[in-house]
Amino acid sequence: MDKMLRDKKVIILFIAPVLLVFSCFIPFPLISSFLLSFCKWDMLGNIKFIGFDNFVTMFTVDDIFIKSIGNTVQYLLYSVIMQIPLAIFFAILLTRGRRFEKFFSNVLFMPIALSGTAVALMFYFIYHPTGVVNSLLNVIGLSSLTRPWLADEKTAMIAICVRVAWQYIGYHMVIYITGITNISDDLIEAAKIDGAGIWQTTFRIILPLLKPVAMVSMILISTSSLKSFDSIFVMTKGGPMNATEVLASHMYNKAFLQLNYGYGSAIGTILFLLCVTVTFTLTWLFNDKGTAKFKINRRMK
Amino acid sequence: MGNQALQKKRLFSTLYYVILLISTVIILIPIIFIIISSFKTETQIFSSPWSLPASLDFSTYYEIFVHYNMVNYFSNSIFYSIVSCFICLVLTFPASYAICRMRWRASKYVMAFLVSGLMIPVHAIIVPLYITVSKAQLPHNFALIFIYAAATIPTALFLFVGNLKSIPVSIEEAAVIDGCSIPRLLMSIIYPLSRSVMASVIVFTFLSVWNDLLIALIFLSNERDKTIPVGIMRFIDSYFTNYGFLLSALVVTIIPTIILFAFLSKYIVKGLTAGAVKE
Repeated sequence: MDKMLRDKKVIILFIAPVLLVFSCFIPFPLISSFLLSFCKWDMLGNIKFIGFDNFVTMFTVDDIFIKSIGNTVQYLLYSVIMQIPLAIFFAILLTRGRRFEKFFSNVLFMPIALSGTAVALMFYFIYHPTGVVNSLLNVIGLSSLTRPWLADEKTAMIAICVRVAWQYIGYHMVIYITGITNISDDLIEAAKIDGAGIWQTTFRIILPLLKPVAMVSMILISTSSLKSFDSIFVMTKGGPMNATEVLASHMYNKAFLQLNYGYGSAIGTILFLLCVTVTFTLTWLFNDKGTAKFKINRRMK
Repeated sequence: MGNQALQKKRLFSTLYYVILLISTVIILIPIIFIIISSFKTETQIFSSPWSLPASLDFSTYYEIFVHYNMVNYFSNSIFYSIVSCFICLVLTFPASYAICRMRWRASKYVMAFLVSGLMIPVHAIIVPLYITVSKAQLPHNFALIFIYAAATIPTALFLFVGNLKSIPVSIEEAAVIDGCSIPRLLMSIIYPLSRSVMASVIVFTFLSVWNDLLIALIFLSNERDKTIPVGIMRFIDSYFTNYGFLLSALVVTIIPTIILFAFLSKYIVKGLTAGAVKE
């Protein structure tokens, strides 16, 4: 057995293909993208090294870039506010051992399987100036609130984040449901015996023990918000007046519409650095006593 | 006293189901709405949004399939999804065994290297990829398949390795004593024990490819090669959008996924959250 498990030929046969494909298509382009960030690539295909010029331009001259950072942060904050509390709320509702829980959690999860482009187009139709949302407002007598949701600078970003929340609440809900089902039943039983009611059990036992899954869900929502592209590209193309321009859409415009490859790569690099920073910061923030306690509980179990 | 508590409980229960029903409606209404609207005529869609269609008008469905390449988009999406899913499985399944079970010094580092791919957003690699593929004059759809396969390697590997750790080694030892080679061991012992994780990986890779917009948008300029997400973008236009076409295209895009979900919800939920949480 041992000899077979050390068989170099088999190891190479199993590992070499995956390493080759992965390296060619992920880390290698990442490094070239990083190098390209320091270059200018003109239409004729000449590459010139220009040092930090791209990054300097970004933060000093390119107003749209600055705006897109602000918008990306806005998108992230709206997404967290709209999705996480509701996801936790539904997760708690759907782990009480009542009937039809599985059905409801499946319905809430279903939108995730749909194509983001299709969902964005669906909401593009719903937000149409003479579309459903506005006609509903007219019917219930709130005509003053009607507006072209996606063409109004004030509401465009919120409208997009509502569409994102519609699709993603179920995803985070399932993450929290897994977290809640992983909490030992003994612990909740013990709390009940000690006289804790529903509210106390929820706030004192369940929520604190959700910290590890909350970390996962926060990392996922943050990185996916930083990377958000589909809804923006489909619904507003960054408009009106760049009110919904985000990092990814700005990168797309610079690199693939204006064919400024060096600059596009530089934005891509910034995006990558932001994702890594956010992931590590969140991991660091969530890794304190709460997590340690969770681990002890699991070990006892 | 007891009566009051019972009443309170009943009220709670009613409230519970009311909240859940309302959220179900919020999820389903937009979908039902586009289905109903898709059968209306262009003017009816906006003039009387709340009415039922006057008659079942399938003409837009006919149009998008016959004159607007919808069949083509579908077959492309299916082709790319299946092929890249297959490549990903063939690459990662044996690799997970080599990493988890076989004894060689660099295994830990190789695993860390491959899984680090989870942190890399596609935006940070897409520009050089596009340039290289264009310069090398590789067929774009061919490159696209490999990009998808490569991008799903980290998650697939992560899942397979996690699964292998839960399979006791003693089964394999017994098989080896009976004279089983490693590749055969993989196929006849490990594979049957990995069916459920295999389903998760397939769902995950298939849906990530099926739903991707950004990479396909950049790589596929040829009408012939386009996938559904890129293809249906043609139905909106900043000057004139034919909503009849748009809605029919959306319905035929969304409904198959919903039907699949109804039958395979268990695997889809598992597959899509598998990278995030462990059972």
